[in-house]
Amino acid sequence: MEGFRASLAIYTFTWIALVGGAVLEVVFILNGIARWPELFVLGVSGFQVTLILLFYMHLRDEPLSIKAMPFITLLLLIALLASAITSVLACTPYVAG
Amino acid sequence: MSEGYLNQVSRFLWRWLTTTNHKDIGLLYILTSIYFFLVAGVLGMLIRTQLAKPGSSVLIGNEYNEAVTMHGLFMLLWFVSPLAFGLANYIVPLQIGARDLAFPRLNALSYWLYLASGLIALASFFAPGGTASTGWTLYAPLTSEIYSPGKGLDLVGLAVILFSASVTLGTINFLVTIVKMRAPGMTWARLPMFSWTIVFTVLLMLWAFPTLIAAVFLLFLDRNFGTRFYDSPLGGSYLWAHLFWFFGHPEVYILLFPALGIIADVISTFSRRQLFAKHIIVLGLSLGTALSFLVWVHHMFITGIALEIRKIQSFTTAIISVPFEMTVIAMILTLWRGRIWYTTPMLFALGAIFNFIIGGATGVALSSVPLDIAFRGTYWVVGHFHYIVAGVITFGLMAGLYYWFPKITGRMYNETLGKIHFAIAFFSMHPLYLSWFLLMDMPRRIYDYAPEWATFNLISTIGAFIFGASFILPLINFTYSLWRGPRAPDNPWNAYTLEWLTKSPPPRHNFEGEVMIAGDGRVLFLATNGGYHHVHVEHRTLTPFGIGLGALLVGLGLIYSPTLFTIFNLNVTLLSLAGILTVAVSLLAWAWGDLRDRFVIPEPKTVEDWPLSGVDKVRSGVWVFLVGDMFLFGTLIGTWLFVRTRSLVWEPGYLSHDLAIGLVNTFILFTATYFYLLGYIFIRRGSTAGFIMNMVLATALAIAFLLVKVVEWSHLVSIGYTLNTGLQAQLYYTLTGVHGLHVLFGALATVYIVAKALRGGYTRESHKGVVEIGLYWGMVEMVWVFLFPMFYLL
Repeated sequence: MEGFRASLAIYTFTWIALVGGAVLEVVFILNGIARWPELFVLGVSGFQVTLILLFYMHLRDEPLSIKAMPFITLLLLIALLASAITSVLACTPYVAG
Repeated sequence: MSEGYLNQVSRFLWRWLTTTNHKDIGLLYILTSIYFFLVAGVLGMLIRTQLAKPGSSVLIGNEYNEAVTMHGLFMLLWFVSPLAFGLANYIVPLQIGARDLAFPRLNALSYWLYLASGLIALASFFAPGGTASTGWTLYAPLTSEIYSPGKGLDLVGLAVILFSASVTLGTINFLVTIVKMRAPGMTWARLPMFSWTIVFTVLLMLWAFPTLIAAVFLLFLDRNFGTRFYDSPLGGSYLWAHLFWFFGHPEVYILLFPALGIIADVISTFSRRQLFAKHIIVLGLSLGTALSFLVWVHHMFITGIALEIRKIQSFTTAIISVPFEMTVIAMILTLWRGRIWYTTPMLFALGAIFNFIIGGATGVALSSVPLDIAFRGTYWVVGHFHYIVAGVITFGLMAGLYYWFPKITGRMYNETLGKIHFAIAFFSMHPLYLSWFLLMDMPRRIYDYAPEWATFNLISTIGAFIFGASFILPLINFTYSLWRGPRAPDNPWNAYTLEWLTKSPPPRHNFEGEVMIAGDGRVLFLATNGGYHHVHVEHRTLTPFGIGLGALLVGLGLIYSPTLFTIFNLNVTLLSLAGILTVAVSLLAWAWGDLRDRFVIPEPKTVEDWPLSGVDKVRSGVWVFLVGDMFLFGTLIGTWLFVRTRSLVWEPGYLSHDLAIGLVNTFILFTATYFYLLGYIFIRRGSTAGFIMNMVLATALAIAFLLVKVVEWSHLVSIGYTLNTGLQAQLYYTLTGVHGLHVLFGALATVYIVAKALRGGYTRESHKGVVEIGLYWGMVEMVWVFLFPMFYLL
């Protein structure tokens, strides 16, 4: 665990990055700079979540088993969402399940 | 009524309403689950009576549908898992050499929520319009107001949510207990199979139940607040099917695993052999756990789903049988050359393996897309899963009840009566369920049928009555043996696992002395100058019961009290308000107890806690909780993605939210968390004043976030943008509402921290709880990182 100054620096830089990320999203989307807005937003959100996990929630200091938890959760969510979305794109709506 | 009698009653009530001991809670779970087993069993008998011959009128139309629905729900949710949880509550701490579960109060809360949920489900029978009649799968759009107009389904939905909350708390408790509280020397390799299977079960629960909570919550909104998540023409019924079966298929293994663990332990004990290839079984079950999340689409093969997805999930469904085949083979090889002792639990275990082969093989057939389409909605499917649920799981749990009865009660049951029970149950279940495979062309969920199906239906009904009646025998056997049975020795079966090395029944503190397993596997009980049990802190508290009671009143208030006012379609009654008040007071009492450190339990100094070494049990528990919460939000955000993908341009009524407000709230929330973390580094430095100041700022900002949200919502409602405006609006209100609730809980938790700090509860050396609530704040912030662009930018 870092000392007071180091922790302060880490938290402050993370906070700046998080707020900056949100502003960046707004600027890029409103000005049409982001060519694929959905992907761009997903990328920025992913970056922000990584910062929060690593530096605010101190995932980097946790054992591998805890590091694995959000990762496995993410994989399972991807499996669920990928199947659900692909299926709804492929079928006629309102067929009873 | 004499004063002595009243004293006895009040002592009895105080003892059971306030207990947090794992053995007491285990007994409560076991007894309650048996009660719900009887309820579900009676419903099953009524169904079979109706189907005994064509043209019967015992249960017709919706009454039949209600019986089928509630039979399934009671059996699966309120009998099987809770009975397994009851046994796990009692046995797992004994098997791993622990004094109790990691969080005893949470354990009590799990039980009382479970009981409240079951009673609410039961009360739904008396709701105007009857109870749920959609089938246990609650398929959309059958659950819509058009097809299920009464309040019964709402009660069932609330019961399912409460039950899922109870399960989630249990998940945290068991996972942390088994990972963090094993006695020294109780390595993973030495962990008994029952405890192993509980690990896999709670892992499955951790990822499956939050999806169910989210799915049923959306259903509740649909029915009471006019949203249209599941009856939307934009794939609403698909959405339900995906969410439900993503929970529903792992649920099969949630039900199965504890029974498999019991069967494995029983077979090992009564074959006088170590379990054959235990590591292979563990590997198989871990593979089964992982794969169980990748097979749910086989429940949706007839929905016209993309062929590629059907192919993939057909493959994974076929593959998932392999780990279970490995398990069965290992169990059979354990029997090979064993000195088999045919006791009642052993007979039930052997019967379960036999049934598993039939139930498993008929299930593998359903992995094939053409066969699945052909058998869909027929009695073949019903036969398959009844062989698993009744033939394997119930038999396995019965084996467990007989096996541990001497340990739990200190009395032996009557072996002859036990064997008669097995013989009748085993030989009656085949006419009951095997005949369903021969009715493979008969549709399920019909209350009348063509005469050509009459013979097998009659055979099935005769089998059902004999099978059902056989369960009266253990009730008689256990009740009689409890009073008159011979005293049980500590280890009547000469079993190998740790629970048999303590007294029958075990003392409150489980073991005399500190448990340690030597390198060669010998179990040592080390005296610790007066015994470790003197530091085993056991608390009594009424707060978990209070929360359970409050939840029950909220549920009953949905139908049983004069309506005070109505929000959308939801009647708010005096009883519901009383329930909310009871929950609030109980939560305050809980926090007040914590504030005064009434429930601090010292962590054992020497334990086997890999792979969570260095992480205390509260932090471990919070991480487990957060994973569940991630899944809850993941499901809700996934719902947005699902709807948005289907509708690339939002439907009429779409409103782009005010970006400035969104950006301001983003800034506020990020800054609130930032101040919270500053508080954390101040307390680590020993500055209480700096700590309190930052925590107050964090709380103030959290409240500011909520106020901005209230202003934003008020404005939107005033311009006619309500929950009923359309899919985009309902997603916006639902997601930001659930997130707002999380912010509110975070603010309350931070207020608690400030209160504790003002009482001098935090110092440089001791600031337990600050990190954990900080983790929660991180989670709240992570969710907003997605919600902001979803609603304000895209």
